[in-house]
Amino acid sequence: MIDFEKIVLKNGLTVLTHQDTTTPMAAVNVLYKVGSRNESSDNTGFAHLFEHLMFGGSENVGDFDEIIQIAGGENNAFTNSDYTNYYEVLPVENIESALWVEADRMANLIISKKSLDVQRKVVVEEFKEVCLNTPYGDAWHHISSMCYQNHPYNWPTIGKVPEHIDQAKIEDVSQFYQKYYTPHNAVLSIASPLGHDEMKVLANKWFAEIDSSSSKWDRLSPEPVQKEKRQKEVSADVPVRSVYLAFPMPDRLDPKFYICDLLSDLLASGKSSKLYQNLVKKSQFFSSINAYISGTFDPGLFIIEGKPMPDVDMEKAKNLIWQQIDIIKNGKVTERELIKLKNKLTTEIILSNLDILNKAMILSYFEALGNVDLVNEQIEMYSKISKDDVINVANEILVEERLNELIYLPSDN
Amino acid sequence: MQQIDRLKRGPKSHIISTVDIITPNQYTLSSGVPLYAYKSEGIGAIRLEIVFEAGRLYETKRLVAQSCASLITEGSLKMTSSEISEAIDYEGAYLSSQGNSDFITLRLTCAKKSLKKVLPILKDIIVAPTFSEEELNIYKNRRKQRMTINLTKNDILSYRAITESLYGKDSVYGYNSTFEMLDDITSSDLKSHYNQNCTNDRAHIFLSGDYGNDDIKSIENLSLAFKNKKNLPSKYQATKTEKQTIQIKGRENQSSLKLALPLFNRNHKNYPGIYFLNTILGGYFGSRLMKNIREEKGYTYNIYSMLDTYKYDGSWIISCELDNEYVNDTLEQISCEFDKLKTEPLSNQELQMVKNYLLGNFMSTINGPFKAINPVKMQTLLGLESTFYNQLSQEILAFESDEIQSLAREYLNIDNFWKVIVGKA
Repeated sequence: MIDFEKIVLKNGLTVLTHQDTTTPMAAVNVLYKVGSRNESSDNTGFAHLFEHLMFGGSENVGDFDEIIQIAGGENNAFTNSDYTNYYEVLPVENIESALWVEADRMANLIISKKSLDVQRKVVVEEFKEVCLNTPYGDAWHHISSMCYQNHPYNWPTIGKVPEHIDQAKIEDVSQFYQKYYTPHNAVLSIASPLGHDEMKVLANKWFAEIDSSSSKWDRLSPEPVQKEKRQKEVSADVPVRSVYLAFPMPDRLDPKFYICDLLSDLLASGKSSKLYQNLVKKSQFFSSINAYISGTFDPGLFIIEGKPMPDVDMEKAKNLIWQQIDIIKNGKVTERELIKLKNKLTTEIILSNLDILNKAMILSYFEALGNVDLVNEQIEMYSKISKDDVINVANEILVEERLNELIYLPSDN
Repeated sequence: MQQIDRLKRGPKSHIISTVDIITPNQYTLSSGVPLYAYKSEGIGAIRLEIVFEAGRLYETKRLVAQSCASLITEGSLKMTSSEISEAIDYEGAYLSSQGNSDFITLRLTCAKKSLKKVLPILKDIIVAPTFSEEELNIYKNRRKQRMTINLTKNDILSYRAITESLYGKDSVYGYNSTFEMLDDITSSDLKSHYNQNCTNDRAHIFLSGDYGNDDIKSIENLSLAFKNKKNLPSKYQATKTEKQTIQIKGRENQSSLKLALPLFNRNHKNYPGIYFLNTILGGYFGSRLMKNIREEKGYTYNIYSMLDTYKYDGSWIISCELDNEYVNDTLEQISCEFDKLKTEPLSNQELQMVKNYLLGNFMSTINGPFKAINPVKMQTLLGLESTFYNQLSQEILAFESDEIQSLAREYLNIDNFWKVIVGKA
């Protein structure tokens, strides 16, 4: 249970506070509701590049990192397809340093040509390190372009190609800032040992005077229902073969989201899961296998990913995965299995609520999603799920005509 | 531009002068095993760690310690591997066993109410892990496939090469795993490693979270299942190695660059100073290397330096992934940063910033019901003074520019650093 209070400042900024008296630390989290889904298809990777530029300086703060380090804190940020998230963790006596830097860059970011030039290069190196120079590093590029033909989830957050990042212009940067980095489009959460009232006073003190132009929402093209199976085979510099099966699934607020999550756990969470026990341990057909959901705000993906052992041919490997899916679709799910998965999720939620930063982050997350109360309803959402729910959703989602299949084969050189 | 007076001047930043390190309750269980326990009532969860001094240092054959650790939970007298994972997962618990150079660690994390159900399973595992041939084979095959993948990654190749050349290919801290080593391991090697080393005289237990007094009784009972032994103390002999420069062909989009210097463990008198100097050089986001090579030149996504320390030895490693065309200038810039640290005094501002950063960061790493016990755990396991982390905090606060500069002059000579580049050959 995360006890929180919520206010909305007159400029539209939503503020969430959580008191934790057991810690000497404070976490400040600012989420902006903009991610790579808000980019245009010929200018991808921009939201993430922009996140890098947010550290370049603002009108009154020269160097964000220095201010936070002097305050004894640590700060960082990440971007995904739906939002961009900035955070600081620091000793509570210096909490105002974090509020100051976040407020100042919300009010008046300064983007210099020099900072843009450097960060373009940094992000291109990040692109190479994470996607191009790592085996299977471009899997998400292949999967998203196959699964999303209309919706902007078509490209990964890092961008389609390094060239898009290279061509980012300073005018685009300031437009992007004006459009998305407004109090209206942001959520501030503070978790600390201070009282709720005190945290609200501080939020008001630092953020209330920032102007807000109310932003227009982007209308994102919906993804049409997939009608037939799609396949892609990639010959790449990878050491062993790998297979990915991706299926479209409902959005984050759909009750079926939770069922899909539980279904992916049934297949692959923990050593007792079906795929691990049957395909890795008992038969040794795979060296590794996993199932997970993308968890995006808009309709997402249910993915099964595995690496067959050298002596198992790819057709057989795929059939073996389908056999395991069919076992579930045919109703072979026990009450005990369901209890097991729910117990595991409950522990997971208890553990994630022990961390002050995590609590600040998920408060912002659920608020951005549209309903902050969900933060305390997660265990209940999962506990409601019945055996039949799992079987029905498996039959609805994990079907061949909605399959997107990606296979990596080692190239010869 | 918005004009907001409030934002023109930032708040006053307070200097951090103390870090609260908790003192856990200490017990000597009737098995002779020490238990350190730190209670956080009401959190609903518990973590139990059993650490054996049974890592590579105690092996009679390569890779036995790590393999033994990985297979402890894969079958007991009463339960098969899949029965164990089913039972643990059913209780919503997490159980892992890991081996490294110095230790084998069993870690259990679970909800408060599950501990009573899980402890008997854990005890059954500890009494007599089976280390069956079948489970060993599964482990070998999976590990080989994982190695096949990892050996195509530049950063892994560069880490293997630098640590091997630095510590020596026959040293416990330097040897790299190979397929042949894996092939050579037998089930009886694992059993004998376990029986010899995962014993009551080499065990330490750390308990955190929402436990009750009856739980301590159950853990005492569990510890009676450890083999009763009086082992001889371990001996570590450092290998003398020669400085090397190594170039390896790897993936070509970027090169992995590593520089390293042989150093020492945390007991060395210069450790606090080098810890401080390392932070300035490459130990945090605002470090000299990050500022120059990432934030000024844009050559890399990340460059860092770290003290890679073990119980008996240690080294200083600088690491970075970057386009091949930037490698030479980056080497040059690293050398320039060394020179600056040797010749130019630290500004008061940087000195104060690093002090505050390090103390705040330390507070953060020990914040939370499961992390608070970490300083005591490190002190116990690494054979450090019981006041080590308190002293380290005090020393950090007291450092002055000339002490750090003189350490820079003593250690930061680029010609003394080992060098590995993996990428375009």
